[in-house]
Amino acid sequence: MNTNIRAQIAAILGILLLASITVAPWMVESHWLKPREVKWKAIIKHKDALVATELALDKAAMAYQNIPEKKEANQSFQHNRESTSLDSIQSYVGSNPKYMVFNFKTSLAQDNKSGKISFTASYNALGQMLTDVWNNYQFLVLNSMIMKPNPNHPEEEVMVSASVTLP
Amino acid sequence: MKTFTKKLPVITDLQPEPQDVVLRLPPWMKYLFILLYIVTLSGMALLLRESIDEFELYQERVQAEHIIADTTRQINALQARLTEDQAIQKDYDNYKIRQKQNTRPGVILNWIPSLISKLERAHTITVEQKGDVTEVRIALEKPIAENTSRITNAPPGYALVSSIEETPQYSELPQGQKANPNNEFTALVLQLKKQ
Repeated sequence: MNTNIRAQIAAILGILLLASITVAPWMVESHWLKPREVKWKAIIKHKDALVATELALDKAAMAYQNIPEKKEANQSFQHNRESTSLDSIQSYVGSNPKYMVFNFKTSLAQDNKSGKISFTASYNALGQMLTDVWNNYQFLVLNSMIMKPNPNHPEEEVMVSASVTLP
Repeated sequence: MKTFTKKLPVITDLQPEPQDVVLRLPPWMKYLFILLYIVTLSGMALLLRESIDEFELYQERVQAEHIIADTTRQINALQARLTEDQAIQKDYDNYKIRQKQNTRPGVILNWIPSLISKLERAHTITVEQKGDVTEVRIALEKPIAENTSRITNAPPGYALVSSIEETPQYSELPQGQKANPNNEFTALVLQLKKQ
């Protein structure tokens, strides 16, 4: 009788073992492989999103052309802006004898942002001088400019007074 | 004659076959085992297929991780470059706008002589910036009898807004200079707008 019970228990255990062996592949697939697959697919999806972002950024970066040249131009503009002052204009004009400028006077307003320039120049040199000044001081804003013949030499010289705003 | 007889070993059955059957499984259990067998086989096949897919996915994941590392670096570099480029472009545009907005007297000064005929004489020329409009005012001395016809073409890059003649201000007239009785003074006022 005891032998029979042991045999029955062994049979039940054997069947359970067989059942667990049967279920094992399905369990492995659903509880071990699937979660990893989901995780890995998320990584791959993240990669795709990053690649798309990189392409979009690359495209956006390509929209900006000639950046080194513009950077250089900006530095030049910056330098031009910073170096613009009434004193530097006076020394620029005064250091060049071809302009034939006399009585060059400057006065800076209290706000240090605007000023007045007045001088007497010959008719022939005036145009070139103004062109050169405005090419060298590109951010100097000209508010007004009055030109009158010099009463002492009305045929040769002109008196110029200009109101400017400094950058 | 001596005969040899081979003696067979005596087998002592220590554990004799049981007289009664210890366990008899019910007949339907046969179908259960067949079912278990089929399910096990199909489970193994599924596992094999899934493992192959998983291995391919693993390779893709490893590749993706390398790409993610590289791409992240490149994205950071691109973003930094883009930010810098945007700042440079913005500065450049601002400078160009300011440069464009600033009054350049050269074009206007070159244009002013075309307004004055040989019979006329300019005394005071005023160029004044009023917002986006540049006003040019020329105090002229001209023969009374002369019927002037003005050139109304604007200088390059400008549009002519208005062109009128006014009585000149006292400060615009020549100082200590006797006016010719045959002449009269007038002030030509032109408004230009930058295009």
